[in-house]
Amino acid sequence: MTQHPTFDLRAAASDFAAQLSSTLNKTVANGVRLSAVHVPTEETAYVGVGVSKHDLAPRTGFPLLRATGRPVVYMVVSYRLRADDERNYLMVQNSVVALALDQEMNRELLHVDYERDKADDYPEAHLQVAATSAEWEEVSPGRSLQRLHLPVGPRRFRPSLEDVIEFLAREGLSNHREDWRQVVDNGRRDFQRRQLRAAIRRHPDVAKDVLSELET
Amino acid sequence: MSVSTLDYPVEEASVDDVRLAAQAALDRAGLTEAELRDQARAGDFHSLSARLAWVIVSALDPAPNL
Repeated sequence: MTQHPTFDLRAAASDFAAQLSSTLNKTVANGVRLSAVHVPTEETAYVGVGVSKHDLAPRTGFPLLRATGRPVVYMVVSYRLRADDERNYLMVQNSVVALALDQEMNRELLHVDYERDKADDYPEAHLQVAATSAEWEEVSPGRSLQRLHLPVGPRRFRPSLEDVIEFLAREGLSNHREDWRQVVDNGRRDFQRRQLRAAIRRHPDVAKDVLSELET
Repeated sequence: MSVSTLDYPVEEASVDDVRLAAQAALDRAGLTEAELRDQARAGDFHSLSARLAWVIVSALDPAPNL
């Protein structure tokens, strides 16, 4: 398969890192700068805070804006990117967005996990909450809620970083910028449009059916 | 997302760099590659550091001795 002449993974990874950094700094963080590493021979790129070619997995989280009277919540984000099969668009192959109460991310609160074409039978996109209760221990003995995979939508409708930001802001777990809502709405709209375009490319017959319905 | 102007720096890495970074992530998680692949197959990562290591290790072919 030939490389699409207009797609540049390095440039796309740069843009992705810049966009996510901007979204975070305009909502629940301050001074976050995600970095990107491109591996040309593997046609892969990595994006996260503090990643370098020697350290592709983030070592620590970054602090979010502290809510009054609450502890500081830390976030880690890690993405592995590549081109889609047609080599036209950027695609997330694997991602983790996690929250914790310490910078080393040992006191985890939750993480949202996405792995395209997972080898096991678990959902590609899932949420794992580091919590438990007597009820959960009863229904899932020996395997805490933290180890259970709550599906959060199929590939095209999975949560984005904006959904985690909305959770933090709405629930008062972190402080937030005044216009966080608009930033989240815009980012989510862009994400959903990209997913919709990808869905149309994969299912043009459905798209044609819908368009013909709209024209009648 | 807008078209990139490449104003955001991107470091370039080789496959050897990725292998070294994968080993560093495994060391942080306190796991061997085989142990991490077992956790991935079972859908049961035992720590966040293991999950973060998987973002890298899953991109690599398994080591020859696995």
